[in-house]
Amino acid sequence: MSEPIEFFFDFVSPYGYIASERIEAIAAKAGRKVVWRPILLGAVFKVSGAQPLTNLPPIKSDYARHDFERSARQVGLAFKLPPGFPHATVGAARCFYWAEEKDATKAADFVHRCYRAYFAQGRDISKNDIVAEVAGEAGFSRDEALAGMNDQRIKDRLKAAVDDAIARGVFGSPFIVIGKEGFWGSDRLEQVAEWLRRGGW
Amino acid sequence: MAEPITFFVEFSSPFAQIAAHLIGPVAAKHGREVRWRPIWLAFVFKALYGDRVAQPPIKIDYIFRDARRFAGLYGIPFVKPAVFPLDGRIARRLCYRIERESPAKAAAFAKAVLQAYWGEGREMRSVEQLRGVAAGLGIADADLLAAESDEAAKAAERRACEDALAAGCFGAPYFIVDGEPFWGADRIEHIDRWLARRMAA
Repeated sequence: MSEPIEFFFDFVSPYGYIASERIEAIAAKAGRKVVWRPILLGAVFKVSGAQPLTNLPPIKSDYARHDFERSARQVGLAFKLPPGFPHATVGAARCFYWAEEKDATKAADFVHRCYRAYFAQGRDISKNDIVAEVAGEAGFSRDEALAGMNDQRIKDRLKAAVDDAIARGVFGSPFIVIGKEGFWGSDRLEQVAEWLRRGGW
Repeated sequence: MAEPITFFVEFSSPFAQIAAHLIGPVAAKHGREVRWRPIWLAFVFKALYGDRVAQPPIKIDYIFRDARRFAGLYGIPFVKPAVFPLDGRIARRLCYRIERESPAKAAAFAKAVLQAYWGEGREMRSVEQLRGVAAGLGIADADLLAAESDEAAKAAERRACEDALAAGCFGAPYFIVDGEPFWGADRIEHIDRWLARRMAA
């Protein structure tokens, strides 16, 4: 089995959600695993000077909303932009790193459940108790998950993950890294698959 | 014949070269013409953002890397030109000047400018730099010399920029397919699938 591929994402990212539903099958086809790396775009954008897609001139943010929905529809994925979007995802990201230490397989399931909770079911994942509920659905203890999110060590773990992502050139979500090669956007998944198949070009 | 696909293109965009190669076959497959509309993207940016927004360096590096990789995947010639960005004013106006006689020749010229600049790295700003490309397509030298101050061509260029804005354009390449907007060379595959489903419906 070759090196795993790294999937950097923010739980608030619609294109991250779309890509998260496809990346494991693409990786598996090439005999690779996926390492999930939630990050916080707010921290990343502070360094890069970028703006959230929905914070741009209306002509562009309207297009982005239209494209989120059309892109999800194309692959048959339930998607509804949650009311009040975008929400803070620091709790969800912390919960992931807490969960990963317990059980990486179940933590991957948590990623999917958390994304679907937000983008398919419209649940407010900015609230720690909702995130803990989702962790419970992924087979973790709700109370332990809540405590994990408030653990200083886990908070530091997330901060280190975000710093590492920035140092490695990650500036958006999703951002997929294969060795040293970075791919930005769910619209690059075909190229990711091809890169894995050919070993680059 | 169904409505043509409108293709707003900025010669200075690395994705213009990729889009120029990919849109023709997709349009032809669905029995559509491509209506080339070279635009000055800075005009659009100025209208939307005021002073031009600079991309953070980390993102500019990525964009060139991504464009080279994208082009490589399809076997499209691509180099990073020595002079970037490109001032494509004369090339645009020559397009609109010759379009009055022959839209097909104007499109061929636009494509040849992109090939010279992005495929071979040759600057395509001045009359001297454009001469070889124009002559290769049988465009009279008198047309080349007259293009920059051709008032009707200038008006057509400006109208294309205004039409782009009115059509929701905020970046290029930007396509309108039966009223549906698509931004980016990476959306040409979506256009293909979009048209396939429309025809089936």
